[in-house]
Amino acid sequence: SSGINAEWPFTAGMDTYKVNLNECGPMMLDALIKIKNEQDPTLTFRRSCREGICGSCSMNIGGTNTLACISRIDPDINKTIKIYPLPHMYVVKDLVPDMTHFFEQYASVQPWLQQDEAIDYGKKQLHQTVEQRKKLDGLYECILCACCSTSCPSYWWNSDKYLGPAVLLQSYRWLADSRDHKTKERLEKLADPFSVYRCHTIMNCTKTCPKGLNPGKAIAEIKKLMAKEL
Amino acid sequence: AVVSTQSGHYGREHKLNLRDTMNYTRLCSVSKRIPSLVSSPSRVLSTTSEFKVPGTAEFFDKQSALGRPMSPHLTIYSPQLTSMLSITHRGTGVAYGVALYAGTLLTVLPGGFSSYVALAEQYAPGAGLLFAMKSVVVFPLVFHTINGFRHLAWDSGRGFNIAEVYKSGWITLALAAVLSLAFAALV
Repeated sequence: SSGINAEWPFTAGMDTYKVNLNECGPMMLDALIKIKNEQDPTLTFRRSCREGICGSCSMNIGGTNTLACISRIDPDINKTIKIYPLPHMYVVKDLVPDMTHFFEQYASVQPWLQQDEAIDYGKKQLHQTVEQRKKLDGLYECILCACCSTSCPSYWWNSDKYLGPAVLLQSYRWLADSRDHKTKERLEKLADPFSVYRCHTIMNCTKTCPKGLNPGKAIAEIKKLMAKEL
Repeated sequence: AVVSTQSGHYGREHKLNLRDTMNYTRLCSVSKRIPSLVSSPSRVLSTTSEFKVPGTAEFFDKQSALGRPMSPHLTIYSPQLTSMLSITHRGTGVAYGVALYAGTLLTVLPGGFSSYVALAEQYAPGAGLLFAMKSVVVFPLVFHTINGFRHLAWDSGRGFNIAEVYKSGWITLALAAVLSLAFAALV
């Protein structure tokens, strides 16, 4: 039953549901949708593409952060799987965290191409060699699901000022892009004790990335660039 | 043009087997019911005003004004080699920093360092327990030093893919354990 404790402040707890796996798809999201359809229509979670590309259904499943739509249900029926929202985030409802600050941090690194002169789009191609383009592999594929940032204990304690692995990976995506001319300015913007340097190479980020990316490495490259250029 | 859709053929095939005869249910515990509050009026866009991205302070003020709970973290996140070795590095660093500080202090306190060593020797336990205690005492120094090299490799940009992180992590732990035992045996 889903009795709501209506006293202020709202208290949170766990609801337990039984799902017949013979009548359910293989992924965690299938189970959540089945629960919502058949047992508890008030269960609230984000979802969209159901194929691991939109980043909507990121949540903590069985202790680690992944996308529910590509997380296989453990066939061992004797275990209860625990599902939580992304860790250390303000909860809007059930499994839905408030992502505003995360996206605001993303906007703050100015994630768009910046050149010395204003770009007259469509006038000419912005050329890049194959080797230069290769540097963006492993960076551009990020879907901003926030699994990595919310797996980082450092981001838990300092999310107000530390940018976190996801945003820093994207920041490096622009630092590494040969077509971008504002490398120095981007690095200068990061030059304070918190934006980058709260990373202590804990490496939970790379471990948990559902797309197989390596934010830890990207942050290390940023630190090297900062040491070299600033 | 005729468009044919292949329905059924590629549909999910239910393989009937022994599992179907059992009640194949699974328990899912899902983090619970927090009724969503009406979104704040500032989110409503009018046709003439610009949408302003809220700043950091406004974000946190809004969260506490709404009384929103925070999702659990330390209590629910699965311990992994990455985070466990990292916190051990911090813990051993603090431990061996304190030991170094205490040890230095003992050299300047009245009586001289050797008097404190003699005092400790009075209470020395049997060989087995003493060996175990020595191993425990030297472990922070050994582990922190070896893991320190792992950190230096990372600072140079090396060893970042997750397979390498795990391999170097297990090697660090094993080497630290073995060397701690070795030092405890030698001294």
